[in-house]
Amino acid sequence: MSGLTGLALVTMIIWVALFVYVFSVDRKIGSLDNE
Amino acid sequence: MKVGTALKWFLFVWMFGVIWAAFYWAQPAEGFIGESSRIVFFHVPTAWVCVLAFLVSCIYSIKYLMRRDPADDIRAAVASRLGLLFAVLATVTGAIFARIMWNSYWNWDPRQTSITILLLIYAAYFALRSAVPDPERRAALAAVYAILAFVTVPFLVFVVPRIYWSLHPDTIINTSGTNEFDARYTMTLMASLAGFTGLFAWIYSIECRIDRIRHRRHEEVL
Repeated sequence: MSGLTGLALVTMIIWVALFVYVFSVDRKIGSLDNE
Repeated sequence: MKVGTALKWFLFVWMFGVIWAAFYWAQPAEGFIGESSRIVFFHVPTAWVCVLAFLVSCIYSIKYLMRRDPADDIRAAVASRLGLLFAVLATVTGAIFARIMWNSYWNWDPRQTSITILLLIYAAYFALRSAVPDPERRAALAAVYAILAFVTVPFLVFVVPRIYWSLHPDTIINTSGTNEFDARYTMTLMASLAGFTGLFAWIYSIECRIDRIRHRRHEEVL
């Protein structure tokens, strides 16, 4: 695996983790808003 | 599926496309060492979002002073917080780029110096907010400070780095008014700018809702 592929993979993993986190917070806030 | 949810998934796919294009589709720009020009696809959007967030903070601060609505104070504070976060990200990505290009993370280049001053100015905004216990007084002082702080942004981000000699590469539109990057590079950068702006808008709306709920619960307790 080249350095560039590794960097791309790490960036994609960071993006997926960030998206999952923000998406879950968004849902949680949505349910709190409806309380 | 609701429009909001569809937009979030669109952003997910869009940013995946941006990452793929940044590493595989766009060619490295001329005049950069190795593949270092690829960090520009993440560095420039974080710097752009930082300026955008500070602008939003300034607008809501003006609104607060006009209407005295606590919601505007929350929106201004959240925008400043995100602006500070993206300023830190721009500084970190810039330092990594500097290490590759100039063999040193920090050179006190005009851009590095001006972003340090900007970070200190907005860090002081939160020091001010935490120092005033009365909510109305805090909101009014913070609003005035945020407006004054934003006055420095165009100077520190756009003027100062262009006045002094700098190691920093030309911006996308350089001083002669042209764009010397190739089409793929420019398209990837524009797509990244759009993606980061969308990400900022999403996180901003969540943070505003969190602070609104916190504010509401605080008032219920009182």
